[in-house]
Amino acid sequence: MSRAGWLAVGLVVAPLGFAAWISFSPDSFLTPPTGAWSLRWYKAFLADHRWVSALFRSLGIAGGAAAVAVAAGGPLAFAVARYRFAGRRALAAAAVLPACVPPAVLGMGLLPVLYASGLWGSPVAMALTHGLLGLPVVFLVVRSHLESLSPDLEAAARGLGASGWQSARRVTLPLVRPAILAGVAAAFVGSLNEGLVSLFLATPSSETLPAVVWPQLRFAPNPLVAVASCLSAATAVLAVGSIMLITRARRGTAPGTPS
Amino acid sequence: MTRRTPYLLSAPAAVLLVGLLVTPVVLLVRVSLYEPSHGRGFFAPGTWTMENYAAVTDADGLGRLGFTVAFGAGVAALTLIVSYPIALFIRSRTAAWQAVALGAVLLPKFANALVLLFGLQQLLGPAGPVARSASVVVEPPRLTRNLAGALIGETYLVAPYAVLVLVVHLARIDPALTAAARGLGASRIRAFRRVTWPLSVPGVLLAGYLALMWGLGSFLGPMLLGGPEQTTLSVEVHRQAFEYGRWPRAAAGAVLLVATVGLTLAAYATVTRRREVV
Amino acid sequence: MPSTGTISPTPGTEPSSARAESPAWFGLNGVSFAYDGRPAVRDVSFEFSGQFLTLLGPSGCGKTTLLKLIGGYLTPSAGRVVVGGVDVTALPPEKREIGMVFQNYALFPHLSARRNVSFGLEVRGLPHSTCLDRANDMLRRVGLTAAEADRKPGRLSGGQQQRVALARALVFGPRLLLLDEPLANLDRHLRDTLRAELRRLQRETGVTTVMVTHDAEEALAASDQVGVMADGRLLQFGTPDDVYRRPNSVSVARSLGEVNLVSGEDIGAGPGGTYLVRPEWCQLGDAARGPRVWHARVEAVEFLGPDVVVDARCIGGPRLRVRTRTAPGLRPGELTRVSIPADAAWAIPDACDGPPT
Repeated sequence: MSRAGWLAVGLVVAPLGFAAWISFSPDSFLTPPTGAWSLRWYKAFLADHRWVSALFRSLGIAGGAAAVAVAAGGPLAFAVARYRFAGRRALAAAAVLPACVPPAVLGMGLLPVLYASGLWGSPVAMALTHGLLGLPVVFLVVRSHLESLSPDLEAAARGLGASGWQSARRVTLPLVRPAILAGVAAAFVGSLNEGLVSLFLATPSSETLPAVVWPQLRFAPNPLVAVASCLSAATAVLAVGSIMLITRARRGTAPGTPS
Repeated sequence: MTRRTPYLLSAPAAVLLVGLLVTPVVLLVRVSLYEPSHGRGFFAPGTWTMENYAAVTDADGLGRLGFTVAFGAGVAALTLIVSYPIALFIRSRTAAWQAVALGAVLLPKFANALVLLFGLQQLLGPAGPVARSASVVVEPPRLTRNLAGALIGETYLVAPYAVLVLVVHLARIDPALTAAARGLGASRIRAFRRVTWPLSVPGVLLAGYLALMWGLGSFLGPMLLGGPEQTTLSVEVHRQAFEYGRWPRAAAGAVLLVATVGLTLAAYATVTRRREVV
Repeated sequence: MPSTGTISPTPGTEPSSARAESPAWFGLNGVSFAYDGRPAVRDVSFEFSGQFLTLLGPSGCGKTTLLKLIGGYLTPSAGRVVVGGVDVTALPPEKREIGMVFQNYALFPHLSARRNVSFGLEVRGLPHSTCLDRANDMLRRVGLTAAEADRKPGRLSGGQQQRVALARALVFGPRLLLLDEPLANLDRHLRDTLRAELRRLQRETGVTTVMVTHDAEEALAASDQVGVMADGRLLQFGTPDDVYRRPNSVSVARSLGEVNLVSGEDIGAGPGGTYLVRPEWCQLGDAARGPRVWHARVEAVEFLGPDVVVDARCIGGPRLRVRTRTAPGLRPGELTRVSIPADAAWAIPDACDGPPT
């Protein structure tokens, strides 16, 4: 059972590994390197201004998307977890909608709107859209974390003389930071790898990574595409990894229950 | 903090949702009622017509709709079949190895879906390792540019999420319960069938719901790994918008897709809720 | 200074609170509160100007809710809360100057013990050095070492966490201190020690203290006054002696200890009426004498260490539980004698659950 299980896990990772393997190929075809491994395509990628700027533009959009997702999802999670108000349930359900709507529908819906407002292909529109797509994860993670924190903590802060704002700043925010960081990571990675809605929203001039990868993949596939994937995957892993390190370093000991 | 505080806090999300989600999707209905532009732009402004809906619900259109629903169900089923054993396997490991295995399963989600499917295509294709190692024994089956490829591809994209959901749900089952069953004389298989499986059903239903939701909107799997017959509604929407420039018809297709997804998920929810009670 | 584990009074230094003089007078007037239509506190009124008040009752009786109403964490649907002569009902908790120790302490997990304690001073805008000095002083007085004060709550024991919570609530000189079941999470031995120290700390700082508990012994040991609650109502309000020896209803009697409920006929006081006889008021064996004495068949004997509890069925009389120092050799099934002394029965008034006296 154990061997079969690890084989299954290996199969899941295989396509990614295969793409990584191909990226080191010395040939122009999409065959894995049988002989010597070559960094030829990595060099070609880094030398090609179009690919590099596409990568950076995608990274920038991912950062923007993470910021949007947290700026919208974080406060919403706080409102839903800590207050009771009219429309609370509706908003909580709506926050999950972006994950439920088929990407083609979202892309097709946004296309005329962006076209008519002249924003079709703009990185800002892309960042906002990816932020919308990241909203459900941020909302769910932060809300769940907030609900696991005892509300007595904020009450204690108030009883000690802290105003609502002081209590949020000094007590709630530091404690909810791991969840926010996790949301940032998820939204960032999600945006970087978002390929479906981006297909609708990108124009050849918008020069994000999917916009460059897509035609290349369809019409002139070569290992550059594999390199692009590996580099963006590596960036994503680095981003998440550093966030996990930050969380671990800052983490005090877990809240203790009296023994 | 005043009574207004929760509303102020919710405002950015509400604006984002209304502006970028609700409004565009609602506007889709309007766009779907335009006449096509016949060469001058993407649609003819100021017009009203039902011809787009007629076009997407003709024989071909209904066939596509049926295929989309069947394909979505197929993706959901295949996902559950693949994910449940993997989730069980992960749960059977020690904590450190659980993290490794789960991380490995989630790793593909760190990479671009387009390139992942391209990698899958290479692996499954006629020149790939699967075909070559199988051809030693038997005529290798075609796994790309057909239904099999599309199903495998789309399942591959959603399975990591399903595994995650299942692992979380399985973790909530108290291990003392299976130990108790074994202590009462049940074999390992019996204990699984009578204890673990029934308790995991809610998780399975949830993972199935997610996989179905994803599967109904299938796009990249059919497009990159499927043949011409594997045209789901999403693929058709993209084709109408980008290959033909017919935005109104694409919008009509999108509206049809939303309705289909909504109805199918509602049906699923109704059926499974009754099951859960049993 | 090594931690002695006790709260030590430091002679010659002033308590942090500037209010060492008379304790605050506070009271509730017709306070009611309901959670979503389910009443939790029903029309509670009392006044208190002593040092230490305990609210006693089973879980769900509304005592914690009452504490939160006094602290301002909940707003009553009716009635007023007055502290030190000021109607604070409309004030939010941060303006009431009331210190509270929550049942699970609610210590901030991301701050050290010291920073937890200085929190209340920091949000008042005091200079940083003052905050630290006063925090350190308070921590010393509750018996925490400097090393322990550096730790985060997760690395402290239950007893240490409780002391930090106390220090945190007292450091800013509140006029009222609220304690929500402070001894519930501690083991037996620690509970007894801390109970005495709570009383001593209260005497030293002079801060009026309201404690909530379900443990009758705690309520009787610590308090000037006891309020007995059940089902959201205040059943009786009086000194420990009052509520223990002269409860105004059967439920109050049961809340405070073991009871023998005998009818008037049993003890020759005429027909009707319910009388309370506490087990320790009865006499057993050779000590049994007097007008109300019976032969009795022993049903159970429990040796508790300092006491022995004997359940006996009196022949021609009531079934009684007797608590006495020794009952050497007594076994179930044997015959013995049981008596109730002449003045050792309390007539429970017919009007139950009356308003506090």
